[in-house]
Amino acid sequence: MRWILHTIAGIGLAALAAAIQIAASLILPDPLQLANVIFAAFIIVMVAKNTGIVIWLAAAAYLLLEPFMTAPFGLTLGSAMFGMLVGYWMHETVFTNRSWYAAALLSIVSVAAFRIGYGLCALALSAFGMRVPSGGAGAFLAAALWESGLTAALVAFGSIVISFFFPSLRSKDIRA
Amino acid sequence: MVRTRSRARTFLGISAVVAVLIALHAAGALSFVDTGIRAVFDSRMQALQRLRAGEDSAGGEGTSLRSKEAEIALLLEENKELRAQLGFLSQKPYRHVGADVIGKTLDPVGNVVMIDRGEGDGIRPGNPVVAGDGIIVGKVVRAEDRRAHVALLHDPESRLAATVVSADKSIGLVEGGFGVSVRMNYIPQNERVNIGDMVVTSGLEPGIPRGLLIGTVAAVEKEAYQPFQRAVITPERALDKITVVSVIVQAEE
Repeated sequence: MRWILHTIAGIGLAALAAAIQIAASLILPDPLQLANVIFAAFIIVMVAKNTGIVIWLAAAAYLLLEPFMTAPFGLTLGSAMFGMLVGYWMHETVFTNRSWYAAALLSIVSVAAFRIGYGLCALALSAFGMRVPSGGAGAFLAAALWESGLTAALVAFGSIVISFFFPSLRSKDIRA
Repeated sequence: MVRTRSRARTFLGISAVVAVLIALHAAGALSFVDTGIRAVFDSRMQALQRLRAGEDSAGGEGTSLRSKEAEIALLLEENKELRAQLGFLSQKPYRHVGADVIGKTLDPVGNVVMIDRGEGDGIRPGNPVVAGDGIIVGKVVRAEDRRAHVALLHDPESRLAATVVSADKSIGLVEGGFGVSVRMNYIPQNERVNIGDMVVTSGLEPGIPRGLLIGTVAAVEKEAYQPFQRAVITPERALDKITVVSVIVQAEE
């Protein structure tokens, strides 16, 4: 019974993150609209709960966003899952504490892995004649850098707020 | 070593899941997911797009009278837009489909919008998309059953064969990717292009009729010893504020 509730909560969280991402992309001015709300939300969850389930939550959120992408189906979804997976591995081995700066660095690495995966797959698909919006290497790199920075800022802010309201999640309270 | 194997298994597992989802989507098994998502999000995205396009006339106060005024202003704009499109298209032998702009796509770069008509309405990739009085705003790049994606003129991958309305009738290629303006490249160096000249489609591209207005020359960039010159074009319409368009699905009878 509990796992059913957790599943429903996870799907709800994924849908909410997707809805906020869509709203942010439409309402916020350029370049703020590049902030990756989905990655920010799930990295905060990953760090707070120390769980890799966020990879599947990110998959659910990006599955909801696929109808709104010009890129071929699966490109963004697969790249996002890869980015979250790399983020989880980094959280397990490198950025192991729950400090806001570790979470922010983790988000930079995750988004970088996401966009590197996206770029490599886009190049491969372009070779087969599929149209993948990239805007050229310069524009893509600029967008990726903005996305990393804005997402890191969002994660840092979110981590600080969460640790303020939930003292057990502060880095000094982690048990060995 | 054990950890490396475990990670490799995880990576392969995730890749397999993505491959299965892609296969299911290609087979049409996930169409119910697409339909459900669009049913939930499309109307809301369209409302946000209209809000964004009409924010100049919406005003800042939240009283019901002001919001009614804003709604009326938006409807009047839309009415004016539709009349202009109807006026233009009724004089031409084009077959066209009217569509509402749902919103912008969520790709990391690019200026592509979604419209609420698709293959089922006769729309195909490459069809020109116009607004107002025969002003081309982009081309269809992807068409699904009930929806299409339109790359606007200032999309980095947008390319349009154009001609300058001048004595020399210079031809060139209008390309996006330069912020809100577009550039016309490959204009022969020896031809004269003046600021203020109008730029229209040349008709050299299949499916795109001649004479659709693109914009006006804002600046000319010439370098000595180069075979071609460039012109910076200001599009005739604010491309981010379009809410209603017409897709020309057949340029000739």
